[in-house]
Amino acid sequence: MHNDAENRREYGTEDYIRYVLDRYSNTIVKLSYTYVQNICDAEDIAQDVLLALMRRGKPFESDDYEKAWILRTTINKSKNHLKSGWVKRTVSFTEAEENNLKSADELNADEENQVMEAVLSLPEKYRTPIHLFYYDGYSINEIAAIIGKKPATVGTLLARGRTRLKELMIGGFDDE
Amino acid sequence: MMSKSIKQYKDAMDNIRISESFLKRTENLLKELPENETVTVSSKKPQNLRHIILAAGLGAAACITAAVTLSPAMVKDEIAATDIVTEVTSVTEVTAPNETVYIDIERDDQIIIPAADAELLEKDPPDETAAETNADVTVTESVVVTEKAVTESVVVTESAVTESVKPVAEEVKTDSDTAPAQETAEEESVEAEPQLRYLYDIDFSNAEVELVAYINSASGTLTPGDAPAVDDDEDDDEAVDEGVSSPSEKKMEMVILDTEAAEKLVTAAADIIYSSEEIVPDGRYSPALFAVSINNITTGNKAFEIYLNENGTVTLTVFTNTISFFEVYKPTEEKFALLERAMFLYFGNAEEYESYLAAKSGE
Repeated sequence: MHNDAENRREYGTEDYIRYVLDRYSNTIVKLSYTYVQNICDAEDIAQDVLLALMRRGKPFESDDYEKAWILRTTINKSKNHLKSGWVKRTVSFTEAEENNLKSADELNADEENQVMEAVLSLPEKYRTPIHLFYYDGYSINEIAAIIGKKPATVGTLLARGRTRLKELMIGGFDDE
Repeated sequence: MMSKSIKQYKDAMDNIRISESFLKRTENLLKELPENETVTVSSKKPQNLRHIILAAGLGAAACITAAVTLSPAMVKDEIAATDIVTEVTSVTEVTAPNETVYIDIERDDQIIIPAADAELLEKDPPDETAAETNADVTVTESVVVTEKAVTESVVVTESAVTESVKPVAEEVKTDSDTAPAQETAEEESVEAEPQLRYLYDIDFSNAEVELVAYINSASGTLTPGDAPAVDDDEDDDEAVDEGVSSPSEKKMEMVILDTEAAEKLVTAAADIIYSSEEIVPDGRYSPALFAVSINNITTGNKAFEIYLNENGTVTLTVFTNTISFFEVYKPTEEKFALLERAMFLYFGNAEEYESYLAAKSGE
């Protein structure tokens, strides 16, 4: 997906900032969105994550580690956000859709959104692996590193998540 | 009709549009970060985050060790206590009780234990010692400073935390009866934001972690607080636990992140949260179930200690250039269980964890 060796930049430089933004901003925002379900909050969290990345003060030993760190931090910050005292307001999915989605005509948004709604309604332990696997395209091993579980566990969570989705959606969840 | 395709999920996610200004705004923000901030993890973090991180990460286990370290009198079995300290780290920091002084951390957000938590604290004391501790773990935040720590832990921060961390002595407010040497620091601390180290500050490439589980493998029971970290005796009949591992720095950093998140969850869930109290060296500690110490590889000195205690509290000890201090926190039962599991599975192994759970449940 990414040509890491070519794309990496020296940590802390402006090139690195651009590299990180280019490579991770979408991933961070979307992953955070699966938690907070509000694009504005997701962007704020993404900004926090990137700030934390820069404040970390030292480069990562590998791209994999960098990726795992960023996504783990995103998950944690998203959870924290949901638990924070001032975030009691819940944004309905409909409202989120209205705020964030493009034209339904162009993208068959109704069906797509129902799928997304089903995914986002999953318990977090299923939702995050499902999202990382199907949306971001991470492997089971990569997801295991990100969420701190064994690959076998991740496989189980994916399977159970799919089962849940089948229950939620008419006709099941096709992962082909 | 509902779609079955994952493609629709991807399309739906793709259609969530990031605001146009976000990338530009974030890029500018990152570029404008002061140079020293980009290399100093702790310099600008919100104070409550700092507290949470400290509370979360290391809060778990440091109680017993700290208790042992700072005041052997708090532990019933002094010999065992000394053994623990010796085992956990290469630096023995056992300090005579009369060497202990107390200083309070000056904080904006005073943590007050809620009545519910206070009740919780007084519930299910596993034994008399725990009962004593439960009754006591409630009050205000405090720091315990030992003269020994001042002299012996100087090296810890130098490599475990490389970036500009001010000595805690400059960041804490002393009690009226605190040693005169602290008074200057007290004055300076009035406006200075505490510069306590974060778990994030750990130089993971130069650190090692030891898990000390106080499980007597011979009897299969928990023997709180008196198990050595490493059984280096050839006669292992009395081996208590071999739970010493050297996880990769990735695991270490990940568990720290988890711990931070866990404590934040506790914070939010309970409205309030942990209690920290002024700890006196007279048996106010609960026996530890197990401890995690994070040591500097180069120096062998401790950087942090996390103790998960029998009474469900978590103790975090931070070793700075000049002093060591610890705080006691009271997470929810769920969060405590989460921390138990995280600590074991990251720093120990599944078998240990199962043994631990079995022993804890009395099976």
